[in-house]
Amino acid sequence: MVFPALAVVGIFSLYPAMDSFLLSLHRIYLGLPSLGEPFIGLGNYTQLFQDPVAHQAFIVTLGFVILSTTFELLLGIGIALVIHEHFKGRGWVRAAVLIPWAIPTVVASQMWRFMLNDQYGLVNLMLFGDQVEAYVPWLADPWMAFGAIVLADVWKTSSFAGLLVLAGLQVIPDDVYDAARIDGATAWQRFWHITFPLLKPALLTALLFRTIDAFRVFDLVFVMTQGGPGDATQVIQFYGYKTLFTEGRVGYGTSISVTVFVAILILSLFYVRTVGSKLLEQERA
Amino acid sequence: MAGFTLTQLCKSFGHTMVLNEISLEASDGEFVVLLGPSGCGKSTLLRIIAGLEAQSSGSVNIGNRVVDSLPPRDRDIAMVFQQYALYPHLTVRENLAFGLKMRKESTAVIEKRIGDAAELLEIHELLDRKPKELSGGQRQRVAMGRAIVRKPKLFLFDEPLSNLDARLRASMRVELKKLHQRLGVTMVYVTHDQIEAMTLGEKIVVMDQGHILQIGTPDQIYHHPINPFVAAFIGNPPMNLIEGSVHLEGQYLEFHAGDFALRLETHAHIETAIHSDSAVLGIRPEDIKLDIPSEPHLTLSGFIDVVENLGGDHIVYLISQEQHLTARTTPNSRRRAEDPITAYVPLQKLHVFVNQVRIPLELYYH
Repeated sequence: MVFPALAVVGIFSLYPAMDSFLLSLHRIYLGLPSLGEPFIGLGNYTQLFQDPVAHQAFIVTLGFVILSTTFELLLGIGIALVIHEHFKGRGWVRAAVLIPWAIPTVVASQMWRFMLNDQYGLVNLMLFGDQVEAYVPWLADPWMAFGAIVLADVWKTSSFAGLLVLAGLQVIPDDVYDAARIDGATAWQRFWHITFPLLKPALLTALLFRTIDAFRVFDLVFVMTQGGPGDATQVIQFYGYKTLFTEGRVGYGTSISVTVFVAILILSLFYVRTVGSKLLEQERA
Repeated sequence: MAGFTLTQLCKSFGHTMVLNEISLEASDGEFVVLLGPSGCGKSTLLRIIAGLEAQSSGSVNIGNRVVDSLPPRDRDIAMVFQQYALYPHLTVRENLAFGLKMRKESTAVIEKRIGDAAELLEIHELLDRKPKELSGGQRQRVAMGRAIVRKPKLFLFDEPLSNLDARLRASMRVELKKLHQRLGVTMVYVTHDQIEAMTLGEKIVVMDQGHILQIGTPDQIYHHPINPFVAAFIGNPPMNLIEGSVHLEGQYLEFHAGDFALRLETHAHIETAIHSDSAVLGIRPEDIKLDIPSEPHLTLSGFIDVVENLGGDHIVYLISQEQHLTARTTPNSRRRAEDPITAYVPLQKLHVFVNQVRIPLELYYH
């Protein structure tokens, strides 16, 4: 009975993963077929761990994960608290909040690229109007370009975090708040002592989704900055893509992909083990 | 400790009026029950007293202090909710301590109060558990404990027993009564259960559709219901109500409902004749006797429809002159369905309502 499912997993997940791993154990240059495809064991991996560009890409990725996830969770809590309130037109606000999330990432990235363009971008126009000489080439500055991809990601996915948090808010019964009001808790105390602890499961779920997602970021960088200027926004996935497809170093590029895969696997397992079991415990408790 | 006064409270949600000119007074230490069907506004009234909801107009006075502009925390009240409303992430001990911590009581005071409450409610061994590890009855005790530790002037209960099963409800009812006797604090108790109202209340406030219909002691409400609604709402099985027409003149009362006819002499003397087609004759099931009573009575003949054996009581459903009546009597195993039966109702026990209002006649003779 489980054979069809196993077959699907085997053909579409297991086989490509295994094949990628095998590829990463060879030295393959697409442009130089004459060199053959010698087996070099973990050679690609030892090279990767000594590669300063890879280190840089890893640090950029880590920075991106930490910054975007933090802002997305904070904003997500804010969004959730607002759209959880009863007010006229709440349905419309809820729908509107989700629009950024519904837009395909490539489209959203392109839109941000246009908006941040140094000559005809909306951001420069709004900030400086017709003072053309003051226009800032946002994506040409290493720090600002990095800020831009974080901003674009936060803009796009905060509402998703908000949605997860909202689901957490909705299961907190109203009369618990009534009880807290009668017990003398102020609005801030109600948030800190009631809402926040009861939101923990939802927050952890949101954190799990967002870190894993942010770790895999690629399309934003591909469209907005191509990893530039310099290597300022070159995240690990983009570096892997570049080595593999533009430089044709199939073996080395694949070893980057496999490393990212393993890193995310470890991250996921860690979450499932610690956070997941805590979540379950809390639900059972 | 203190009583409270409600003055002409009104509440509307949009165009819907949920409370209409509610005025009520309770003295210090009184157990007040707000009784009515769901949607009658009793819970809203309780929430207004608590300050969880703002009234549209009118005033709330607790312990000789107008509290209209005060938030719940400053009203010196505690409330027990239908769904317990315990903080799910805190242990029982932390639940009890929460209100005290918010008020910045010292640790010593908090420990002492929790100890006292735990002893009173016998929840010592539950103190380190989370609410989810407790049964419904235990949760309700904890919820009461949370109210008790605060030592409020006024306890508010919002249908606290309705989520418990019947047996537990009965025992918790007794415990609540004991609790009130021991603490001597004013309590307001919302329920739709007439048994809870009768057993707990010192003052029962019967409400329907945002209005107070009657305020009185359990006995007053039971024996002198002000209208057919109150009459039917209190008592189990409910009062027999026969709709018909009435003619009152001089000392005579004539009542007709189809074949059912009654002519009585009363102690009252009606100067101007009253005639109404909207009259109701009420008879409590226990007032229908199957043995001839010594006092003046009304005789009904008919046959038995169904007999329900409750052990200590029999509920006899009988049909007399096309009227379905319910009688509660002492058990008698010889009664069978379809048997002819003669029943008697002491005239003093008849209730007459004309145009939805009780007519206080001292009914006397045939």
